[in-house]
Amino acid sequence: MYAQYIPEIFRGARSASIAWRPDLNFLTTPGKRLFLTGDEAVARAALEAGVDVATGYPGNPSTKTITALLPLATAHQMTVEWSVNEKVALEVAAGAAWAGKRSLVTMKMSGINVMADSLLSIAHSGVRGALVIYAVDDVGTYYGMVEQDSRHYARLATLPLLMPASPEEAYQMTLLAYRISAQTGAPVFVLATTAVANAITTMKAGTIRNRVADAPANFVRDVRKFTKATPQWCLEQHADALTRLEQAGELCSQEEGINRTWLPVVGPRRLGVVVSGVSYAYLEELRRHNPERYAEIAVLKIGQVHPLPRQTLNVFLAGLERVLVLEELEPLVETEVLAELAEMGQRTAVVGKRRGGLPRVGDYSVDLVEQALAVLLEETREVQALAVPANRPAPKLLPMQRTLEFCPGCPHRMSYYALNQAIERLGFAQDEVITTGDIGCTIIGMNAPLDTCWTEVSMGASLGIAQGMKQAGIVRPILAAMGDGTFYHNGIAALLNAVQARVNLTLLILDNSTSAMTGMQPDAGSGRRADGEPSVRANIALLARGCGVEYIRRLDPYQLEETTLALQEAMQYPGVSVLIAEAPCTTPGKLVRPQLVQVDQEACMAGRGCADTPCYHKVGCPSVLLSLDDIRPRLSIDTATCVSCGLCAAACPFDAIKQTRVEEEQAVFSIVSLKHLLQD
Amino acid sequence: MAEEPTTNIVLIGIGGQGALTMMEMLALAAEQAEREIRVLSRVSLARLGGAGVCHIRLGPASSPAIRPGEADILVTLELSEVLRALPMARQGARAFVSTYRRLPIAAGVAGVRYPTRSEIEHTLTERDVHGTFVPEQLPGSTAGDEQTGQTERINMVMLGVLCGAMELLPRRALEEAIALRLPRFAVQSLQAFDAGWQFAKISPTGG
Repeated sequence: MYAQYIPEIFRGARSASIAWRPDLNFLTTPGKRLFLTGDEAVARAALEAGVDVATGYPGNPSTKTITALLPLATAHQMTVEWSVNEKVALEVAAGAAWAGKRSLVTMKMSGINVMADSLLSIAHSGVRGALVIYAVDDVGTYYGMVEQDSRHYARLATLPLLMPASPEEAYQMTLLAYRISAQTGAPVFVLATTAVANAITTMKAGTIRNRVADAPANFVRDVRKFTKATPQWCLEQHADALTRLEQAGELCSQEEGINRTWLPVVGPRRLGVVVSGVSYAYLEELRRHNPERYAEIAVLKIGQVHPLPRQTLNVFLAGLERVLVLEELEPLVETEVLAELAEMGQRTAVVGKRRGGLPRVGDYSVDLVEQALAVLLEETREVQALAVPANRPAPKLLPMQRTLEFCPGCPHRMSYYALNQAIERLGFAQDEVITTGDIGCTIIGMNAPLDTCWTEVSMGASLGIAQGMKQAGIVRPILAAMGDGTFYHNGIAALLNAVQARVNLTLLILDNSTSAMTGMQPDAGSGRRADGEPSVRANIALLARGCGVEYIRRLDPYQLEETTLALQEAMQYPGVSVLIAEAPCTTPGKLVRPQLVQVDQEACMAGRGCADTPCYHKVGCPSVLLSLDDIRPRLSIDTATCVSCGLCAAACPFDAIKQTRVEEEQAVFSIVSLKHLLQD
Repeated sequence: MAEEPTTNIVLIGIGGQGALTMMEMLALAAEQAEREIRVLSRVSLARLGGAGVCHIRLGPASSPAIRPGEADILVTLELSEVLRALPMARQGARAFVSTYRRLPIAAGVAGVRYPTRSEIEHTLTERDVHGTFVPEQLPGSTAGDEQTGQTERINMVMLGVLCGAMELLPRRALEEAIALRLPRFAVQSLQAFDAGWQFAKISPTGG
């Protein structure tokens, strides 16, 4: 979903992340050393556990689990899908588990918020087969969206939660999660972080379960367990969930390697570290390089974050004088350690986020853990966040800021450019008309030079925000922009709401028929499923009509003037108007129009009368190049990446950008020569 | 028994240059050569104009991320990106820098100046990092698609330069990794790799 910012955007549905493996069955090779990301390690473990139904919603850094399972679906008799949103994904996986099967649901952290309502309900009912929820917290927000500590959801939903410190552990813990879920009936969380999900390393895998002898699907009616409209039953379900949690905790504690204790080699000082998640890898790195320095420190690594292994913790803490707690984001384990110490009546100094200066924002690192250990050893009083090593001061010359850019010829650029024109033609300054933005590629309109989008909240939220602004009394036109996937995900409900509210606003849906930003996964409007099978295309115009919208127009964003006029009209329409700009994602080398776009250097007035060079400064296309060396600004078109959308030519006031027709062959040549980018 | 030393490489490219592909090839070659390797990619924003940062740890390691100031080698597929990698370098580190330049749109629109090569060289020297600057085009690096004069095989050229100069992994394992990772463009990729390798061998600062 969410997003954001993915390298595989041009990879299409080719499952390119596995195409490079020595053999296509890399994930299914039995008993061999495998080279996997954290995401893929979860996929492999799910296969070994005999997963029957796997669902998910794309969003990095969690996307690669479903991507890895998709091509294996038929061979392993699984159903694998990208669902319409995370809530539906969970419900599908839970339904399968209620019918006695084994299921998996995956998402990035923001998706947990989307499925939360069903999560609590399903958690209180429990499951009959097995259900594992794999989610990834993007600690440090490398991919964008809210930095959140999703461990809290395990507490909220009364669910067991395992937290791996490496891809190897992601594999091991997913296997364990299936065993626990099958034995206790509790859905089990496996929560990774970016540094685990995106790391790649070798691991030894086991054999894939043969499912021939599995019992057929069956759901036995039990309204006491699977409905909620009787208060007494709800209380019983709550109590059952707590019982399952306790059982899961006991099973976890018995499992070797999930929680591990290392006793100090030397020392009378009685120092200890309680560590969970990837911080353990950072601690290991330090101990590996300097074993003597840390020889007097005992370590308890906790993989079982909820419920915490209380007995193990109690034994570990007994007699310690000082203890350091290493966990990213919120002081969750730290609070439990303090509670345990209070119950034990033991005065132990706890170094962490309350005292010791460890941060609640951003990810940990080897440097930070080293500083924390210095606090434990009483060499310093507090961690100094983001300290620059004294012997390596920051250089004076800084790297260039690189922000999100639309691809060459992107239809979204066309739509936003037209919108900026429409705003101007209606007599407004650009900063007088609010456009609320949404998740996905469409948000790139927030950046220069388009500067169109003003806000970004969550999937489909742009419309509700726009309605609220209107109802607050903003008189000038307001637009909400979102993509097609975002509209299906959660935008439809907001549209129903806006129609009933009878506000004047425009919903601009930028429909490229795919989830572009996360790597071109299909959505309900793609006309194909993730496994490559053709399917029915959802119809946005009909959906909008069904919501009660009366003004609906479908547009070709490459028709700039028509799009601009339509936007002008829609912004003046009294009521909810919906514009659907339909055009597929561009592909490098695949021309939008069969023409070659070039700058006529003689006609180009850059630096000699054309002061603001709108082809560059208003269009913001990566294929329009501004010379870095010449004294006078010199513009040119990068023909290797240009897809001939013609927007730069339309923006040129001197008609100096020429579009000449090219022969079919030339267009094809361009495609062939760039094909390797596609599988990059 | 003493552990084999770990070589820490920070690799940075910008959207579409194939830094991730290059990282995967190194990892695959390490696998072929039965060397320990642990990699981590943080490639946010990469395809859409951002910078992708890859951490490659060849040899025994626990943390997937390299500590700032502990990278032995920097490789950047774009000239100014070496400035992003620089805080990661240890004293005396090597940097292999493609001279390909890409001005970010937001910077260009705001009138931010692209740093000059001599400014960048000076900054590297100041930080005691030994830079090897690799031209965008090398003899033979784009054999097979001369007409287009494209630059996007920079990742293969830089893989050749890195491995030719540092002799990290057996050439045969690398070539097999390239062919496995990009089977449809194996020939062109291997040509670009070879051009980089040759450059490293003849360049005065290469070896």
